[in-house]
Amino acid sequence: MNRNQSEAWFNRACSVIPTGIYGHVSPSASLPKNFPFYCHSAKGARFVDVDGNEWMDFMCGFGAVLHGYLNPRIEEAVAQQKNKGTIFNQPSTQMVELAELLVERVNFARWAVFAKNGSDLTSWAIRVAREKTGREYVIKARGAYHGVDSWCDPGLGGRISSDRSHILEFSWNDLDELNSLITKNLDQVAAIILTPYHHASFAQSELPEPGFWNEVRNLAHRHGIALILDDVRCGGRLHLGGSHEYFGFSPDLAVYSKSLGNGYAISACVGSDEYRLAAADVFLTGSCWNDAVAITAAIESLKICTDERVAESVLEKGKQFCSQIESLAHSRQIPLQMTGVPSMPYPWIKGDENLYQIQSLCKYCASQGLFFHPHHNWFISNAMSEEDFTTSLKRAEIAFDQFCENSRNST
Amino acid sequence: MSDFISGDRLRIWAAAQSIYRTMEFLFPDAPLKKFKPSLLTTDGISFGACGLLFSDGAFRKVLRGGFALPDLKRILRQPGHSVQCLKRLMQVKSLHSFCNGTKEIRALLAGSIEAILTYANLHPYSKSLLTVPQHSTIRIGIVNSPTQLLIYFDSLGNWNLKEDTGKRTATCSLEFKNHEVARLASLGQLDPWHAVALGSLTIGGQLPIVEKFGYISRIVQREVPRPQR
Repeated sequence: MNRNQSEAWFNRACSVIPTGIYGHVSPSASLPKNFPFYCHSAKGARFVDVDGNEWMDFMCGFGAVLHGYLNPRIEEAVAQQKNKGTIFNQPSTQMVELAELLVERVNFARWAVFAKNGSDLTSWAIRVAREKTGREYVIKARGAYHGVDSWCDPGLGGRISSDRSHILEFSWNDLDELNSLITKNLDQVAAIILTPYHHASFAQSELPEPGFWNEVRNLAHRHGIALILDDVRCGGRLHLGGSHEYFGFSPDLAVYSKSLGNGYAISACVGSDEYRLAAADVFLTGSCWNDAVAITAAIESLKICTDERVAESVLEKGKQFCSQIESLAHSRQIPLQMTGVPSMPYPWIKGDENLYQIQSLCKYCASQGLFFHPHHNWFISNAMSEEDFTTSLKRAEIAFDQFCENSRNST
Repeated sequence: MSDFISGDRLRIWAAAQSIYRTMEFLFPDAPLKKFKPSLLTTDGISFGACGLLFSDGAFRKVLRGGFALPDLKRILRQPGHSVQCLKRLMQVKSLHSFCNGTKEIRALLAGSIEAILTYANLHPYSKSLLTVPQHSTIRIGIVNSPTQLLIYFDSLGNWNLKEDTGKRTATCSLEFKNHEVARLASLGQLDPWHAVALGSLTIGGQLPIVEKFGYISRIVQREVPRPQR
């Protein structure tokens, strides 16, 4: 696969951008010799890199794209708004419409606010919880990702000791440990922030055990702790009304982003009435946060979610795909398991704790133009057609055979 | 030795450990135990129990390429031993300016890893980052070079380094494309992100552990003085 342009642009980048490409899309976090460094264009469920290679995309802009790239309905709505403008001195009326739409759709929500990224609002939601409770501590699951702020980012630099001095962690599903943290810090915990299920990178995904969410909800309620749902990654891919409905519980605050604008940068936090006053007292703003274009994209995206029953659709598509790809693997004695939820499956090879096997398998898949990430959950887009899945599975078959042949040769 | 030592002393202690590890790889058959460095309680680094003794300041000066006298009483007491030790130190020091043999580069690499491990064991923030399973290992190799280096957690509870020719899978692995890339990395002259992206350095396995050691290596690069001419 030709990578000349990717590498040439990366070389240029390195002289003007620290590390060339940073964050979750850094080459060193994935398969640097196999994945492209830069994209050129995308449509539906495929993208083209700067070298002209076409890829079947199973990352969807790391979850930001739910209805496929360049979805016609969204692009049309966006184009109309662009003719009127993007950022003004005051918000556009679309902000009110989007808030109404979210309050109508999310069963516990009575208000909504907007920003640009998930981090903007996970951090803000914690401050709202602190304002409401007058407490300092926050509990999160060990290894969970909640954004780029210093209280939670997975990086290592730029920290001071106080950044995490009020952050407590427990292992996902370990209710005893959670209970113990709350008891040891009685009346000091402001919030428990969790994702709907545990989708850490470099590890298989873990679903909540039966009763987990009920108990978390009860504990939070009993101790006057705000339960914040970080639905940034899962939002839109599990349930139309938010992932809490999929798992059958009710948080106090929930944060959405990624797929909310189908690739247009927007995030939202919704909350119950109980948190409205606290929300009013925690300052929130950004010069471009009232972006009418992104808000318009989100409104249209939510309408599509309803019209096309997108959450159910991607779950069903994912279920079919996961089952087929597991069958392909198992028939070749590759113990591949697609963990987590079917619309966001995380690939795991049994016995491959050090990840060499999955890295190798994904390299072979990349050589067939399949963007299968070895360390991060994949995303199913609703633009993926029957033909896209058939093509992907055919390519996967070739890649799996090559992987098996290589394994035989190296033993 | 206490769990942690003060920042200033840790820097020169990591340099001393690095030098000794380089010596071990450079002169595998020489009786080097007599030059093993120790950090004196208040001030000074001694190479061997009765060998060369530098005050912290003098050792720092030597590392920076300046001239500083070791403790004269020690030299007079064991002149042969001291001269031998000085000779070895000068040989290691010269590697930082000129080094092209595979054995020399491997020694340089081992020395630079040792400085990182000293921080992994004794630098509070670095140590706090390494909350990884204690059976974790990192294999470091150079393409077409049979011997590899293995970072492992020893029975005393410290990160340690050894040579390894085994095929046992490590928790994560790093492989330099050639000896020159390894040399540049050892001297802190390799951009790791560029090298990984473009294939001069291949990493595999549990990458978060590599990332943590990589971050510690950058702290070391910033803080630990390298021998200069």
